[in-house]
Amino acid sequence: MKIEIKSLVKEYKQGDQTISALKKVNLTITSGEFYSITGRSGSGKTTLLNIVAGLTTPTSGNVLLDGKDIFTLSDSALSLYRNATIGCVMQQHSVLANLTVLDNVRLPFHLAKREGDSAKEAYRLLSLMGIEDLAKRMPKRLSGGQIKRVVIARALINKPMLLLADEPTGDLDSHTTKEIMQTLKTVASEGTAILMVTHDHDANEYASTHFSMNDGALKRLS
Amino acid sequence: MRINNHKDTANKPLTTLRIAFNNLCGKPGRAVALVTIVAIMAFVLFGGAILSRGLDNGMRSLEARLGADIIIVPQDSEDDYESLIVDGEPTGFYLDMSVKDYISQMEGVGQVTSQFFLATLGGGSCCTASAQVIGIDYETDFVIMPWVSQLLNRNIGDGEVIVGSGVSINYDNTILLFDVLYPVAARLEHSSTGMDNTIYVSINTMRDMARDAQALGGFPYDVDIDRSVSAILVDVAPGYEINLVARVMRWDIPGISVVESYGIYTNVASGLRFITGVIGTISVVLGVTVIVVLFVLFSLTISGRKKEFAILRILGATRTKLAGIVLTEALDLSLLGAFLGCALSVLVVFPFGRHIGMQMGMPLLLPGVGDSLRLLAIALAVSVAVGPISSAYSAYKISRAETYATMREGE
Ligand SMILES: Nc1ncnc2c1ncn2[C@@H]1O[C@H](COP(=O)(O)OP(=O)(O)OP(=O)(O)O)[C@@H](O)[C@H]1O
Ligand SMILES: [Mg+2]
Repeated sequence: MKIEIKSLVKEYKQGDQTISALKKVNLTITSGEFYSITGRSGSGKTTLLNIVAGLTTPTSGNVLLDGKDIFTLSDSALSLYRNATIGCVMQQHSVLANLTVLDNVRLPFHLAKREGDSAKEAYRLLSLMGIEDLAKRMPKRLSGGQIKRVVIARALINKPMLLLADEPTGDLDSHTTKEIMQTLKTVASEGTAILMVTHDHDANEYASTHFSMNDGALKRLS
Repeated sequence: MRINNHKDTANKPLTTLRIAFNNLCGKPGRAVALVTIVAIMAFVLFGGAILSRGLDNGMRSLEARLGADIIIVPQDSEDDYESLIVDGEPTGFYLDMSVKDYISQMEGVGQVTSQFFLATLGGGSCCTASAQVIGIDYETDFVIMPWVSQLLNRNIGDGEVIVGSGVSINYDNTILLFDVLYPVAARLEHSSTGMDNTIYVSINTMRDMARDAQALGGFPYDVDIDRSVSAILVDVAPGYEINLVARVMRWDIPGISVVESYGIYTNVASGLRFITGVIGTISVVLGVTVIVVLFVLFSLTISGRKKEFAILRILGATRTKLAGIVLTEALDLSLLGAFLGCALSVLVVFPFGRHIGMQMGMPLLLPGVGDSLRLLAIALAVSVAVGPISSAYSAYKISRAETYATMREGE
């Protein structure tokens, strides 16, 4: 499986002025690669991730999944893409307050009506994140860093082809950052591509391919 | 270890139903408020429907039991007669028997019978119950006998009594009336009319009883017991107009009031129409209000939950799934509310129905099991439907929301 990003342009109209959040971004994502994007605040990193996730439509350009534009898919096909092909770790806290940690992690599994033992896989991921003892807790009793780890576990439950991670270590101390990045590196080595936005120098080191975003323009660094 | 411990409960699929249920549990205050609103509506709908039906039944029961077309009573006694027939208010008034003989000869008069009324001395030691005794002439009676013969397959013998369903009697099936103990031959079934508070005896027994009452001061001495009747009941001969016959009677005979049973019936019927109209109006107004209130509440809460639904979208929930969650939450709430409201209604209306009817001064005959179940099913269905109906727009709106935009709004 391959995801190609072609000449992606995103403009936001704000009154009479136009903000160019993305300017002709090209990127090909292949299995097992670990990409990182760094860049100033407001440079368009989140916008890129949102478009790849099919959450925002681009002004022009395409996101091709095995050659097919995801924005031409039906709602159920695009939902399935979000559910199973990719996993999302949003910049904001995106945990569901009414479900336990375990159920939050299991939820994407059941949204796609999969058969099988979701709890077993959820516990495996929670212990990978070092928080299996929090499984029965409600999210409102968790710290910011714990929530981030729940969200990462949730993004991995359907074994996605691509993990989109917007500041995955934003709330974490350097020790935990190291642990999480090590985990992500393992995930990548098992075949999941990772597209990570980060400000963290340490985290950036774990990626294999580095990009920088500058005023909507994506530039390969190494 | 841990995985095995939790396996049973933790591995249930996260269906729409479970997600909706968890969301409701997450906001118990909101859930309780919405359930209460639906419960109130269900309570009023079912209670109102049962009462309306009960009044209608009572009306029919009264109509069937009035039996005669025209009733002649002493002048100015028609209100007392109506109270007796409708509410079972004990009374006594007397006419000379010659009036009956005269009426029997009149043109247009078919069957004629007479009744003799005597109020028991309630509260005294002489009588078991405070009730109305009616002596019926079973040779000519065409009003009470049809009911009695259904029960007994024979006439009332002298010295026997038949009691209405509301008359209290002794445990050994006897009743003490003016210091004489009478065997109770039968008890009539509940009719929600004055019949329920009436004791029927043969006219001979009635006269003896009146003499006993006279001795106890419960009957005036100036009434000639053997030559008196209280009410003369007339069936108009076929081909004659009831009100024409009644008019001739009023013209011809001094000192009487002529009651057309149709008049009693229409009096009660117009009161009934008013009450059922009020119940119907309240039900409709309340139903509409509840839908509007729920609509507003759902819209308000949904807009506060945009981020929650955006997260579900990001995780791969389809638009249909989001709408399904909103509708299921609403359905859960209205299901619970509908059942609670109807259950409460059943607990209030059935035990206290007779009391409510008495308070309203209306004949109220609660519907039977089958009819009640049918009304219950309708009330439940309407109340249950209210949740999904009033949340349909919210469900539609949330399923159309722009995910990325709502996620940013939640920041
Ligand atoms: N929905 C929107 N409407 C209008 N402008 C937007 C919208 N989303 C993003 N922008 C603008 O697009 C530009 C890029 O935003 P984006 O969120 O992608 O930045 P970012 O690189 O993720 O920044 P940060 O590091 O702070 O998260 C910014 O100028 C932002 O104000
Ligand atoms: Mg960002």
